[in-house]
Amino acid sequence: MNEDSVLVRAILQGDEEAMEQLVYRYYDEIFYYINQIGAPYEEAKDITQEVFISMLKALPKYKEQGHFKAWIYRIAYNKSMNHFRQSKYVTTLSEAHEEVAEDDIGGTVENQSLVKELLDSLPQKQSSALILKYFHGFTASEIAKVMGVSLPTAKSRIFQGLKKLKKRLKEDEN
Amino acid sequence: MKSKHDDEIKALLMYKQIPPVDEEEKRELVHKLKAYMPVSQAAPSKIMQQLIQKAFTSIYRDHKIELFVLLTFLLLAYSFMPASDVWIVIMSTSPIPIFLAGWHLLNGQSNDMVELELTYKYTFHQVLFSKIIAIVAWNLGIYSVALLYLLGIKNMDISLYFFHIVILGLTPIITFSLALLLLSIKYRRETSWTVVILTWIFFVLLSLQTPLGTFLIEVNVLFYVLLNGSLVLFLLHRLQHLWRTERLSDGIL
Repeated sequence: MNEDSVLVRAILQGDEEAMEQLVYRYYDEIFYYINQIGAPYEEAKDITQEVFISMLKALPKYKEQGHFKAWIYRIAYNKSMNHFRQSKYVTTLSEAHEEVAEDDIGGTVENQSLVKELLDSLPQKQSSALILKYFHGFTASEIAKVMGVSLPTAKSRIFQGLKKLKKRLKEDEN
Repeated sequence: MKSKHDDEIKALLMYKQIPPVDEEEKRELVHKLKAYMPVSQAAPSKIMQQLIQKAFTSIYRDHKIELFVLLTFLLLAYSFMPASDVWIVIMSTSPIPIFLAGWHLLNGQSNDMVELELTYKYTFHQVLFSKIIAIVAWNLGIYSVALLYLLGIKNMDISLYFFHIVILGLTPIITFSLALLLLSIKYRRETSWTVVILTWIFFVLLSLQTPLGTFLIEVNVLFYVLLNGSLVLFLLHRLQHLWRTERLSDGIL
């Protein structure tokens, strides 16, 4: 039994300390993910809060299958997409990172801006799949669960995303 | 074959830069989430058992005099009526416990009461589920006792005729159980149950005064078996759905 499922069981029994541990375990990466897929810094904080509230409300219905991380990311993905649809405004990745980029120092700026630029050039679904894979360490089947698509679709999004990035790098070289 | 860009892209994408997260935000969120902590509950089967037991004893506590009077009336009627006429008593009286308990059930289910019940430890749906099960169980219990008495006092054989009578008497019990369940979910108005009772009285009088009664008893028993089977399946389906209906639906997934 992994640690997440121990915490989930404790929370279902009303253990507030377990809830605190779960929040501290996932807050940063969920916030980072929401920020990465296009929510500006302040909005990402609000959406992260909504994600944890929804997670806690839905926890009695959660069926333990050892995929808690994928489950909470899926809530984050759905919440973010709903937020984007409602506000009818999708922030580009560059805008979302603007505030963070201001604090960058030295050589990191070059790498970061290149990453942002590359991901910005992709359709949102492909960039989301790449973010989940390379920034958050998900496997293709977990990405499929998070995004609510089939495994071949998730693989195709990663493949297409990488292909476009490669093409882009070649063009830049030429 | 891997190109030189593969590694370059992967190295770039794996580059991480965590935006600073305010620790105060996390503390505030933890504080806020305490209001959403799940209430610790036993396993659903245990809750179901507890609730049904409570509903069962509560019906006995609230209606023991009425149920005793009804049972006495049935036993007396079966003792003095000729065996050939007893079917009309069975058919017309079989759903009376449901009418009785249904009256009190719907009476206590104003919308205000439902709102109040939603704040309880158990959901409104779970409570309603257990009450319906207990009412049906009480009704079937009284019906069985009366039939066993009938078998003993009239020295009736367990024949096709007796089977026909039993099935005929079950039809209103199942029909009104279903009606009570659907009315409790949809309308929750005491008057709706009055209409149901009046309709039944009218139907019984019509059966007594017109050839409708004879017609009903002459209909093939297979028809009633199929009808009751379908109604039981529908009732079980609705009860299952009722139990599964959750109090909160955030629709996030």
